[in-house]
Amino acid sequence: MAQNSVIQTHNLTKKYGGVVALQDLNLEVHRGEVFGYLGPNGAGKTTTIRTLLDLIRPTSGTATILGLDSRRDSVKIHAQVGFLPSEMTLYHNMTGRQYVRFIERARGVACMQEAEQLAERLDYDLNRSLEGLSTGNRRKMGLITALMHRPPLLILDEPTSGLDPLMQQTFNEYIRQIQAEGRTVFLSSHNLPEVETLCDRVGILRAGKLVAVETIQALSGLRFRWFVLEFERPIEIEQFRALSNVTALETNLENTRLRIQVSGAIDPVIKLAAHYPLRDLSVEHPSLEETFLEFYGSNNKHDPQTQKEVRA
Amino acid sequence: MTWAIFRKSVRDSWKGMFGWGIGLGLYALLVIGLYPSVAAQKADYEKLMESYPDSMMDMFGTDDLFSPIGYLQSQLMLYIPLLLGIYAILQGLNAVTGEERKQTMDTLAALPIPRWQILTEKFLATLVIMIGILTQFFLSLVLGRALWPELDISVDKLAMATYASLLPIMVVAGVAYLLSATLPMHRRWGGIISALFLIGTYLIYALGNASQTIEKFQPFTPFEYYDAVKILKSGLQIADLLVLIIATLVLWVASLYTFEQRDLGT
Repeated sequence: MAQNSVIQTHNLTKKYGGVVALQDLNLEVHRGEVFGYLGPNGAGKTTTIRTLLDLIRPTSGTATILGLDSRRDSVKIHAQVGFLPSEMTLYHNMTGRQYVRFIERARGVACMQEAEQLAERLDYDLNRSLEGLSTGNRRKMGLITALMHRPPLLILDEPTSGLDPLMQQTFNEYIRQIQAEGRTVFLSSHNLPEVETLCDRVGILRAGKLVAVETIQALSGLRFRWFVLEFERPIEIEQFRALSNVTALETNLENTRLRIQVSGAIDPVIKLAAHYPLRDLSVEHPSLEETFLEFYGSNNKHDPQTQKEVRA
Repeated sequence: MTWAIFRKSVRDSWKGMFGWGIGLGLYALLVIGLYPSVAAQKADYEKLMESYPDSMMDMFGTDDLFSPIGYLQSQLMLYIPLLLGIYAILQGLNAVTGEERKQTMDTLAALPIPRWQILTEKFLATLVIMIGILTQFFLSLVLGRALWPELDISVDKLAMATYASLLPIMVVAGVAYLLSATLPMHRRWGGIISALFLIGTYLIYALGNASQTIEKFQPFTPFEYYDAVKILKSGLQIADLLVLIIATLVLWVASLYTFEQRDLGT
């Protein structure tokens, strides 16, 4: 294992009968980084995480976490990892405080004080019953118990799913603080903006295969947007088609409504549109799945330049 | 061991423990309370019973239904492992498939506790819960004996017969734990198979007393090794109890092995 690696997998594969959930995963996460694990639903993100934590066993391949073998040393690994599962379900017959006590006792580490601080920060009342909590509050409780023992590695599966924007911001601040302390965060997400905000690098998973590992700067270059422009009168479509950063274009029969896909700078599009009487303009951000299909859809054409040339 | 899972499992079941304990205790008091009138009319009852076929009498596990020991066996002790076996099945199924069904297993298994310890703490919690229920039952027997002295059986024999019934119950719990640890997410099948084991072996045991064909299968049932009449008359039957202890340990170890091997469901 490289000295700087916190997570390292070697040809990690998980099959369920004939179905390949994860294939030959070779991944390295460095100490002190926030690593985003991106992929559409069903890509294999949760399978990877559950394999790393020895909740499920790999069909072949190996993984080391903090220099320890994921299978042989799973208990030692669990002591040093804070884990938030994708489906955070809690025991309904407890209060938050009782649940913290239970996890604290199971871990053998006193961390109630840290849990209380986290609860305050996340605006969560530990004295309330865990029964009937909203998704967001279950997530908060899960984050508290994942973070309260101050682990050197955090593995978070869709951590902000269900959190309101204000809490997402608080979560982001906390993750940055963790990173500043030299700790490592491995988080899965299908939310591209979240990953862009938080992560240093991302691994992109599709149909069980790691198709790319990019820095966040490289990932931002992949982004495209859809603009929907509605005009008072018909427009010259070919003028828009001729713009270099337009990668796709749709229009209605009357040529008064234009849906246009733009990569990179939007300035030429806006300037051209200003020549016509504009009734409405809206922007659609593509889902992560659309981005994947756009850039990693077939034949692993994950070079944006290559992809654009193909489309042009 | 931190005993966190053990403590939680006991805490989760305390209502059930007192519910079952009080229920069985009240039933015991009712049965014991009726004994003085049964004993008073012993001659009439015995005459009536003479008209019944021998095979029917054999099913009660004693030929003396109206002595204190025979009465207690036929009306009460015979059913205790069967009734508590049902609760043991629920405990065993909840241990693993219950956690998986509620989707709490991932959080539990990601704690720094080995899988064998998770299962062991839960199994020990089941043992303690069953002892708790049997203790309430035993206290009811002692109270009943004090209220109706006609039930002339020594307290130590009552204690032996009560606590020895823990062993066939734990065998049934062991079967449920093994199924729970082996069949991920298939709680229904685990329940059906465990119930078939409980009822099937009980019927084999009960009918085996009346049928030579079925009798040869009796050694394969846990109830064969728990004879309350023998215990109430002569004390603990160590060889029988050892068979049950070994069966429980084998089932527990098999549960640990299968739970250790398999993928956990969510």
